[in-house]
Amino acid sequence: MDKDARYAKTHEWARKEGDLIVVGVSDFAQSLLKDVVYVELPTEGTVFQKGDKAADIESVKAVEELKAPVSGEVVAVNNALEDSAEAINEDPYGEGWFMKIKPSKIEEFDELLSPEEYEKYVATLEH
Amino acid sequence: MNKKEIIQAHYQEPLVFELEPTNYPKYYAPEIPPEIMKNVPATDKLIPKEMLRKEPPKLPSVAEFQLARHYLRLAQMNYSVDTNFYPLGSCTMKYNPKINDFLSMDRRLSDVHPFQPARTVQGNIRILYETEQMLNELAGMKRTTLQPSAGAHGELTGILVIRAYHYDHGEGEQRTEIIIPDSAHGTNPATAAMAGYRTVIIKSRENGLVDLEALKAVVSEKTAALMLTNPNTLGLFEQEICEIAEIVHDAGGLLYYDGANFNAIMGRCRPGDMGFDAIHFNLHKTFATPHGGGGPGAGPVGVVEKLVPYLPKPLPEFDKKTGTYYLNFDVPKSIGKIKGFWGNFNVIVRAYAYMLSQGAEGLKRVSEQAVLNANYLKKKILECNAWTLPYAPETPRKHEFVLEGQKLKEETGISTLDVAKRLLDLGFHAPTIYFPLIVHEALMIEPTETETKQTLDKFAEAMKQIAKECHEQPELLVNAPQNTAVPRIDEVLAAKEPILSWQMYQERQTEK
Amino acid sequence: MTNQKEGSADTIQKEMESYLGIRSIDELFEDIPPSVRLNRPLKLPAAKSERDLSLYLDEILSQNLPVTSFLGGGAQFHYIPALVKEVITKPELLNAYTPYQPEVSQGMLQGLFEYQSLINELTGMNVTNASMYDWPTAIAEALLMCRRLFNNRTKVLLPQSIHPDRLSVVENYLAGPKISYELISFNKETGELDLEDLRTKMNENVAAVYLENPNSFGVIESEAATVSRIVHEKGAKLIVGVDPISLALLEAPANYGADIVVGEGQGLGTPLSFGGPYFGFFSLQYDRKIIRQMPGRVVGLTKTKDGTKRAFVLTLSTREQHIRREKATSNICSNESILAFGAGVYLSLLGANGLRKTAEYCLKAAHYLASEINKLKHFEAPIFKGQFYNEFVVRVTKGTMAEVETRLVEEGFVGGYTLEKCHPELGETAIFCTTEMHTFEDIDRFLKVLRKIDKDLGGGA
Repeated sequence: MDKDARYAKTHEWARKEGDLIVVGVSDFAQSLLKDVVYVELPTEGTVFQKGDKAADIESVKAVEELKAPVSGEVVAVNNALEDSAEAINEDPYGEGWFMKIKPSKIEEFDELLSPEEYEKYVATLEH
Repeated sequence: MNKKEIIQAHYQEPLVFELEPTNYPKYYAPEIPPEIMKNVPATDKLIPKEMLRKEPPKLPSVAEFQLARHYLRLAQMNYSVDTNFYPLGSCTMKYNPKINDFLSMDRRLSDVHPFQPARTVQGNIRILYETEQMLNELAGMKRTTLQPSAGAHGELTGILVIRAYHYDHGEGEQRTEIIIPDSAHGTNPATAAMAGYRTVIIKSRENGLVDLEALKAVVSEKTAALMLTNPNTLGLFEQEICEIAEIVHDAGGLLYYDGANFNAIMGRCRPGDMGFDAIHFNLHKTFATPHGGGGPGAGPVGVVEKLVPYLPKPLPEFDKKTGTYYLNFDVPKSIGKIKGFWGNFNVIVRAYAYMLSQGAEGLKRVSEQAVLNANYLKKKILECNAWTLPYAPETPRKHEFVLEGQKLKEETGISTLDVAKRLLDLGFHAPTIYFPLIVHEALMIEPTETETKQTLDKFAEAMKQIAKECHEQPELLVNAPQNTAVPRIDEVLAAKEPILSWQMYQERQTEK
Repeated sequence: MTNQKEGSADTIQKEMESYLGIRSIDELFEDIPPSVRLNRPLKLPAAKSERDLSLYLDEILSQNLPVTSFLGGGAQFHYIPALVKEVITKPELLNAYTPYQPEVSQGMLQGLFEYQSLINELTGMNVTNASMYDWPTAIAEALLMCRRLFNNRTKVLLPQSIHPDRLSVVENYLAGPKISYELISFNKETGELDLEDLRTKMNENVAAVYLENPNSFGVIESEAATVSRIVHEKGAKLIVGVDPISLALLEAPANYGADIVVGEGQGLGTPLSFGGPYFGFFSLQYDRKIIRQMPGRVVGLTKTKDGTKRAFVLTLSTREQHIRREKATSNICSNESILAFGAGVYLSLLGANGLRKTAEYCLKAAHYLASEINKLKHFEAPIFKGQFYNEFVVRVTKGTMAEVETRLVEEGFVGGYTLEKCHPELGETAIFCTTEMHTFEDIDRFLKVLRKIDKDLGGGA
């Protein structure tokens, strides 16, 4: 669990980096997916509304969507994932980041769950 | 029983491209007759220069004897229903009688071109005609097209026919939704999407059946159809089928029957009598045609009277006056064609032979034995106390049942995948796993009618042994299978660094 | 005499029933509402013994008339080597389901992997899927795939010469996703695609263009490379439909710019069987993103988990209906695996030389037949100037093609597939086809009958 990030109920994390928001999937999400084999990232410049599908994450027998936790424009994507999707499993909060978004409604970031809230939420799912 | 018990050949068989090239004895293709050679210009004069192939394809250069061994070895590394029990849920892997294969190879069938005039193919059209008559009776439908190639193709055909019906009644643009239960086969939502519909998923009730209230909440003037299989994928019969039909019909929608589970009900009840408007059959499941490692199948679609005008063309007909059979292309409202020609005829012939050899009583008996076997095996396996039977445990199943492996996983960490792989070690094919999606760690088991009690008992014994191993020797499961042609395969590597051909394999080798 | 085995079989059934605590199997069906139960026997014939079934089918098949046909149009009569028949009827392969458990299905998987690779050698691509239902559905799926590769290109172009049945299948597949199509006319003289018409119809809304080579008139598209340039200039995809045997002589479509190659695989070891089952092949060049839009199953080469052995497995399954459901690239599940497997056997046995010889036979027999027909007073063959492979259009200038066909059947022949319904503007025409199955004697006897018909048509045109 990254204590500096905030979380969506759809298991994305979002972390402030200057005036950008870095986005990835939580450790819980990667553990459900197991071995990620492929991600389809958006192109830079794409504009998302909060909740839009922003990326596809594939394991061998499942495919999940990463939903934009905040609205805004994609200004950078982690192209390294194309060749090393395992980073999502091995280092979901670090090397496994997906994209950086320039938020258009910064208040959406504050509405996301705190690490503690997300932890509690995940606990309800595990039973 | 830890000793290694080989159940398959373990060849390190090279790819056909890796076999040693030989010129002897070579394969002789027919010689071009000298009279033709004499009168026709050379090949490079007959083909536009820019289209002449510059490099011949790099096909293997091997002799028949090498290939005969190659394919024999490959076959020996392949499990089939002729090998042993194949309890793959939803797939109806019953025994395929040999006579059907033999009859289908008759040259009077196999060497006939589909465009031959009707007068030269009276026998073939008669087979189509009589097959259709039998399927109509079995499902309680007015007419059946034999054109679709497989179950999913039948679904697409049926939904396109329903779509044409709605358009013809001025409601095509309005009816944009297809309702599908969450327990449905993946092909149902995929078909609906392909036909341009939005899928509306309804949750199953705690008894595993369609929730009438949930259904009522989603049907509307937008409903084009409900797709349902009955018995459903849990093996449970939708007891409120008449009410379901009424709800959908009252809203102007139609009912589509996914015939994957038809083996459960032959001669007992008919989709037509339940209120369904269209149904596809899976000839490669219910009617014992070989599945060929993935195909061919055949997916005829039967419909009620009001949908007949929209069926693909042609339809086989019999002209009583002249006593001749013909293909009727004069179907003005037909959706046209859904595949080339008239259907997977060679598969249809086998199904035809199967129906004739079973007869009316035999087909009913098929379903009875399939259901008896399923319920027997279900009870036997539940005695292991390892797996549970979710949804209405007291209600008899039909042709298949779905076990839940959640409890076992929590207690031992052993997943359904491991169980499946261990079954392979013990000489059985695994059931369908992780389907339907509404069951955790699902094992979907369909024994079919062509198994003895002894086989069912042995399978239940194997499950019992596995349940014990989960607690005592979990490594046997995690490392399974060991007795098969190859041990467990790295599917992650396959998907992550795909090598989809010999060409890509060679590229990869040179990169390294 | 009591049959002891049957007696004990009844006992076993009773045992099973009493184990379940039921008195009869009927109890297992009690949850079926009475109102929908079928309370009468099925109105179907009584069971036939194996002998009677054989006799019955024999009688039915004796109603078929043996003929020598020159029909093509998407299905061709080719020789099937004994090895192919033997391999694809091996029970271990024929009676297997889809190889969902790869560890016990290596034979089927390796055979399909080889098939995929062998087709690649013909098309020049490096990916071929494990088969589609047939050629027409492969075209349709290729068009749908190209549509998915673009956000907002909603139109496709097809040749006007395309066989009407194939077009009808395509129309049905395009209906749901609301993809529109336009037909590109053909050059009336050569029978090839009209490049001017293609240029006019190409724009930024076109996702894909489908080209057949040889086309449905049998004509080889000599300017395929130009077609490719025109299509790619507008950023669209080029799908090429081919006869696989012809690729022993004709350029691999990948080399003139095809993005997807499809075709009818029937000629590669699958019997005519009155129209099916056949199989469609579907080839393309690997691209990690584009491959995600490919329909159908595909076999990949990988290793065992312990890293010790090479092994094969169905892969990239997240595209398919059982995982992605309504978002799948196609609803296809069952395909035509055993026939594709057989095609692998066929291509491996014939090799490049055998395949080339077969293709040359098809080509030359067609040219011989065409030139002989063209000598007749009331027949023209071929009616197009474009060079052709093994199918060509014949026109009768007096009377009707239907009348000619009737006469031919009386003599034990079937000529070509008549084009009067789909191309009335061409006059009384039919498309004829020859393969290596036509001996010189077949062709010679056929020509004798045609000469007689020609004579009976009389003097003036």
